[in-house]
Amino acid sequence: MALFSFLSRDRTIATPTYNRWRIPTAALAIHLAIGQAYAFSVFNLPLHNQEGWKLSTIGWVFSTAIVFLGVSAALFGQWLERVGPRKAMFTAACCFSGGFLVGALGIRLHSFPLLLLGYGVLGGFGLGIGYISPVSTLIKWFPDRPGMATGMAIMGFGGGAMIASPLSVGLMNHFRTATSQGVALTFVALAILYFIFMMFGVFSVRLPRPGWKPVGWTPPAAPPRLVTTANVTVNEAMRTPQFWLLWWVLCLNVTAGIGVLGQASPMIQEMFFHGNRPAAAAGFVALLSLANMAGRFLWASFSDYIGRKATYTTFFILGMILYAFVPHTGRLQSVALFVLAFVIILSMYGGGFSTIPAYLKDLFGTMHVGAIHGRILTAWSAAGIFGPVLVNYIREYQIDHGVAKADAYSVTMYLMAALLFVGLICNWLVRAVHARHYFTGDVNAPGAPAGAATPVLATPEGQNV
Amino acid sequence: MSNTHGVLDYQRPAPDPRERVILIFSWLWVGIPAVWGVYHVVVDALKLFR
Repeated sequence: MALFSFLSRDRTIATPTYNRWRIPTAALAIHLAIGQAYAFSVFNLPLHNQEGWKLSTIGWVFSTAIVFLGVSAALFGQWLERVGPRKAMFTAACCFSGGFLVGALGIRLHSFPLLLLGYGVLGGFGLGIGYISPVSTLIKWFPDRPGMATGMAIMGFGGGAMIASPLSVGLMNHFRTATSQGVALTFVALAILYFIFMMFGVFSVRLPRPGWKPVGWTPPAAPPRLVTTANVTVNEAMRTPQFWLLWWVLCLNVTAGIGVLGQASPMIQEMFFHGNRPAAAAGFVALLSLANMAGRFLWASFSDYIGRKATYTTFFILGMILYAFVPHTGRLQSVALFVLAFVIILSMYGGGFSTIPAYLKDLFGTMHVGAIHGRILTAWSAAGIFGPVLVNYIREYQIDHGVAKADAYSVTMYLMAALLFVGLICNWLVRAVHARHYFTGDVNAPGAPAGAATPVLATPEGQNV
Repeated sequence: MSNTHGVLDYQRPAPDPRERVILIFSWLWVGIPAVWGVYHVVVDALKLFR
């Protein structure tokens, strides 16, 4: 359709004067918006009070959205590489905002299934497509610093909840009436605001011209052992042991982090405050979300210097030490050490998310990195179920067997350290992808797989910034 | 004149003032909401130390 021709891949190619530092802002416009999902819990109590739905039932909305994030990221990765980032971002904005609108209708009609279908399913598709949409574009624009570039975008996903939480509360206060909590109208307002915010990313994003590379940058003559200059298609990547090793690396790193993230507030209260300082515990959770966000940028940027494998080795070894140390902070009654340990742990949890796209690029090349990233995000969905269940089950089992509440976390921490040890082994086993998996066709040929043609030649062009 | 990587400076396109304005606007577009959000979280986080 001519109306939407501006979305096409060939209309997205950058002019020679385009500044590549606009790409992170396009990516952030998407990720800061869809990161709202982590703040969905601010609607739980108002929805419970207004509609009478159980809190456990409302919790399914967020869970469904995260499941569909993983599903859509895995399903639409190849489509994204074919149509380019702009159409993918536009689709993500439509799904995400549309999810809010359908959800608002569901609340208005007192229909929970419609809310689930809107925010959970349609919105979940927006989350998944939006999450992977800028990744390969960022890597193509920043071949010299791929970790930093993707880290910046994925930091936005961590930071989205920080904007959404006060914004949603403010809007609900504005729309609240004697008979309504104002959730439906807040959903409508958020749909409009996020759509406009995301459209900025849609119109800003550009693909580099064929042959573009940063001025002054030349690809290293002898790249590090794990880094390939070849490309692997998404389907072929899934046939390599490296893909599945990284799947477990991500899954175990996220399981360990997500498992304690939900327990952070009760843990500090029971171990140190004995239930007397709920505001301080809330402050602790806020500090952890800052650590999670900062870690996404800092660790991914750091990985550009020390390499991805060394970065994950650091996560696993340092993580094991810290998880094993946390129970001792309780015995020492040192809140400062406890907080410091968790700040580092959560920074590595965030770093695990943001370093994985560059790790995939190193191993499989840039051609299908967005699609491969989409497939590997299923590890996140698995960890999202596995982590909290594991932590909650072990804790309840111990309390049922007479262990004091404050001591019940010790076994959980040791178990998380054990999981990280398995992750360390998986990461240690990662080797360079065998040449038999490489794509051998002409990446510039018309029939080449989508996404192949962009990062090939090496003529300096564009801004060196 | 060449830099340390052997790339001639005249190969670099002249900076476009319009592009610079767009770049600044772009960072403000995402930066202002981000700073606002971070401010709220920092205020919350400070409760831990009170």
